[in-house]
Amino acid sequence: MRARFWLALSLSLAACDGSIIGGSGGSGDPGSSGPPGGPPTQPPPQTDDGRYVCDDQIHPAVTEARRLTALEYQNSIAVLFDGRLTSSAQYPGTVGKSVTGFSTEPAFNDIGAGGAEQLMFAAEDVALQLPAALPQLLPCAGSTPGEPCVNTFLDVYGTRAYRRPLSAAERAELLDEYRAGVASGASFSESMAMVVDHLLQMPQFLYLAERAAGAERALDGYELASRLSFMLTGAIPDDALLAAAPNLTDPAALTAQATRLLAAPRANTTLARFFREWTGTARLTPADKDQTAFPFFNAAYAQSMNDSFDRFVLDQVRNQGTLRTLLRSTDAFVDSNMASFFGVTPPAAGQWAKIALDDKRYTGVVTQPAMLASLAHSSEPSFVFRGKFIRKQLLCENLGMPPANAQATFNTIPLPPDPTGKDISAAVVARTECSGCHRLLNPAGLALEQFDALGRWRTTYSSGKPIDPSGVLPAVGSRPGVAGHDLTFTDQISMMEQLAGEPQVATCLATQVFRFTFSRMDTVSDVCAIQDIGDALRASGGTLGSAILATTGTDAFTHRSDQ
Amino acid sequence: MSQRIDRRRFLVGSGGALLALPMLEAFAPRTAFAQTAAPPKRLVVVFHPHGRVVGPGSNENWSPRTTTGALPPVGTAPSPALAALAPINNEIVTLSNIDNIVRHTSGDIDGHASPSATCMTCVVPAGQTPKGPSIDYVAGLRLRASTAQKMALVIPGQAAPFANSVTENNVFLGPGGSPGNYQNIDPKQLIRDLFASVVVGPPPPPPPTPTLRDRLSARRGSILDAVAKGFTSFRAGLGSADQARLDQHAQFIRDTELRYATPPPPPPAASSCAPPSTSSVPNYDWPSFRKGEHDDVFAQTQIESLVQALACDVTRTASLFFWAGGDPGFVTEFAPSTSPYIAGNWHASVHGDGSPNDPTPASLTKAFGFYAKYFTKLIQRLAAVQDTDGSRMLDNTLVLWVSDLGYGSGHYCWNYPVVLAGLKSAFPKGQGRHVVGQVNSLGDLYAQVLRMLGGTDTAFGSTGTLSSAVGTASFNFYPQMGRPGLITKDTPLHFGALDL
Repeated sequence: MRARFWLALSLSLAACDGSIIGGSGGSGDPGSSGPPGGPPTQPPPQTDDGRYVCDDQIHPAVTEARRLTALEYQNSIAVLFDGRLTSSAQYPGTVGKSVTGFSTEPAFNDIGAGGAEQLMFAAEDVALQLPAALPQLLPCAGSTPGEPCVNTFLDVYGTRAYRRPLSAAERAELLDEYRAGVASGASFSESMAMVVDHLLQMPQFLYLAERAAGAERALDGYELASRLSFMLTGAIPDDALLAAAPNLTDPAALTAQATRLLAAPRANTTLARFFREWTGTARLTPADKDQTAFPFFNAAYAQSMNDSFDRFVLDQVRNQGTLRTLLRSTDAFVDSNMASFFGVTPPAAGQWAKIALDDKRYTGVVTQPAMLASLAHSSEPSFVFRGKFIRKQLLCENLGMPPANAQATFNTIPLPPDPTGKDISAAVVARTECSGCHRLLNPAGLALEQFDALGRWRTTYSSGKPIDPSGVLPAVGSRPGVAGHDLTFTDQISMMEQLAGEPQVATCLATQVFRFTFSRMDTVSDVCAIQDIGDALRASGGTLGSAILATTGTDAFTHRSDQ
Repeated sequence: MSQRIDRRRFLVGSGGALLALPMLEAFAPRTAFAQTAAPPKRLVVVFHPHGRVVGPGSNENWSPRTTTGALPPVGTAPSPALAALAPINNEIVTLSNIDNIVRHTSGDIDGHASPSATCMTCVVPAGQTPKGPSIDYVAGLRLRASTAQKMALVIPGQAAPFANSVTENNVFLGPGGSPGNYQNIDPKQLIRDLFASVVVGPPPPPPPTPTLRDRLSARRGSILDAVAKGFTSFRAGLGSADQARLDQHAQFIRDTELRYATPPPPPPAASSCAPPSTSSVPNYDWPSFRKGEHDDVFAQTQIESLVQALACDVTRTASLFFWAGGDPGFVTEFAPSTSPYIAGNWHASVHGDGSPNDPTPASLTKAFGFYAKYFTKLIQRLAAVQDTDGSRMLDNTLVLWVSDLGYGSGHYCWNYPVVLAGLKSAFPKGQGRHVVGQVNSLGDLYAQVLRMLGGTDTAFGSTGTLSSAVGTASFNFYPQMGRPGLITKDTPLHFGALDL
């Protein structure tokens, strides 16, 4: 019964065509374009090896204005005030569902009816801290308080907040706020708090928004600085980047700043976020797991598992990891909790160690415990969730939504006693309405069936039946007019070995970087921009770090379009 | 001859325009709803997830009767699922045959997202994305005394944080399907947010030296006004899609500004207003609340805050929101050590499948009894509070209890469980009744709610038929989960008045 329930929760994806998401998902007349002056409705033609025949024009990306996420707000307050003021928990969170999985999507961060008030409360929470920190933030406050000192404040902190020098009107507006404070009898520091309160509610701070572009334009240096900073550090630009901003239209200057930011420790949070959101790896808490099944999974243990994942992906980026090592490495990072998890000798108390796991069992990011535990239910693993990751996020195939009656349908499917994952999968795939997607994704998830709901290794089910991780992953690389090919594997190791060499996986990584960078799902208009990113990845030597850097040099990054 | 429209009413009108109201109607004074001398009319919405436990048929355990007629006497359970309503049988009207018709305009196949996006709005959604305001928001706009008053408050009834934003964020909604006015889940913070400006008795003398917080509070209206102007100038250089996003944000700023720019309403009579004390409510610590371990204390606390928000005229529309997140253990109905849900998944159990211990419909009925129990407590509390004219506050407050689904296990969008209470004068045929009429839509129900509150509405949400409401010859028609034999592309979205 339990297995039936857990599967039912994750069952059945309808309208599954297995095609690659985005521009290449289109069919019809190759190369046909959209209405004159409008965006294309069909992708350009493809060569036999799947490359798009793109022209040699600029391939800009459409971007939308978006509000800073709660994490970006927190990071930005820290940068803005040199870490002396802290963010507020009252900053509004997200709304609805992220289509790409990435948390920066514009609609995901729109505010609701109560949002303006929450933003006001959040700004006040920060402003209230200002007087105590003002002597350090603004030395003239102690010696020569007055309007020249306010202008000094705006030169530094206004410029940081707006990510560019303030216009005369913007400066006058904030100066007026100071004057209103003084007129009300407030002290200098209190009046400055009002300026901060005002500043933090302005769209120039709260939104990443770029001037209209029409069909296409190059970004200016300050716009590039913002893009770069939020992409790599999840925060407003630091002073060095702002100082370099006027020259960032020079590709060498842009690359130099990107390299500097990527190397900075504060890029870690954003880099980890990319991998977490791409792979659907949550920040686990004890509430995510059945405490009866996993009584030891307390807050400290969950934190260790989270940190272990972050350390793995950051090690990949920072130590010459490639897409292949990301998928095939046997590295893991352990503290005392994770050493216990893997059954290895723990490092010294409070320390972490990098270890090599059994290469017959473990293969890259997909066997990191935090990812396996995230793609699982509270007490049982989910071959559907895990298979969905492989097909949708690693191969970028187009999967629909599960039908509303999936569970009701599943309840009617007869199962043998103590069914194995393969028994359940076979019963589901035998149903016509289920087979469209489940025949594609189940084999990939079943290959990871030897990891339980917490990511622990196992070889049998609780019934004592053995787990068989072998299978065939069908129709890999399919696209309109091309059937694709099957991958036959004996276990998760051989499946990931083959996937690591699939061109479609490399293309998908470029697609995911595109979605992460531009905070939206790709469309047929983006295939050339994504191909540019993919080319840049390959040209950069194939390391993940250089791949991220290479993205910042593409037309899509340095240009924008409104169409 | 020109007619001057003052700025504040214009701004209110602009907000109304987002509701797709005719512009002139949006500008019209809401005198019909604005009560001054008599106690104001109010609306409370109670929402619980997953509909009813047992589907229509021989095992029906929600409906008190199969035909229209009187409910049993006070003290007798009206039905197994509604047993906890026994003490208030004479205060309620239970309804059968209310369907969510507009849900079938969405081709979205998710069993929860689309019903959630439509069950309170009755507006054609875009897939899973809601596109209209919910009934509490529409009523709230009309019922509020002034723009200074909070409206359409959504007060958490349970302590577990949201687990599924697609459904839980999409029930209570503002203009265009924007998120509703969800309140802080921390009971202490809720009290601070709701009652900070409430003064009972003579106002205290101003402090000799205002604090910085006082000064920032005093500047709120001005800063919001300046920020809104900042949005206007900033948007000028952006593309049209970005402008639309910032315009919506700016509108919310203007709505907020109006509340802070207008003097607060005069203090209400002390006899009817007693703001709760933060010292009397539990500290919010969600890990220890995550399965509803303390929902007895939590729900009671939230009900008191909601009732006092009405009594103190902080708002005239408030909702008590229970959601499925965290899959509560219902420890109010079972001892924690024996609750079949405390270590399991309630959602799955509703679907009739193997949560730990594989609970039976009887234990599910018991679990759902939690909502009936706290609905009863809410009604009893509203009845106990004296209104400004000495009447029971319940007699001036319409209470509407709805859900996202009919038979939850099957994701049915028909035969929703609906209970009405309060505002006796709006029930010509009296209360203590169960009504089994013709098929009605949720749109019919909400239009009638607006009429009961003083409106003249004949429809709510989208109008016409399923196909005409979408406005195209072909659309993502989704008849599944609808009443058998009823749902076609020509099914109307409204059927007429309910027999109340």
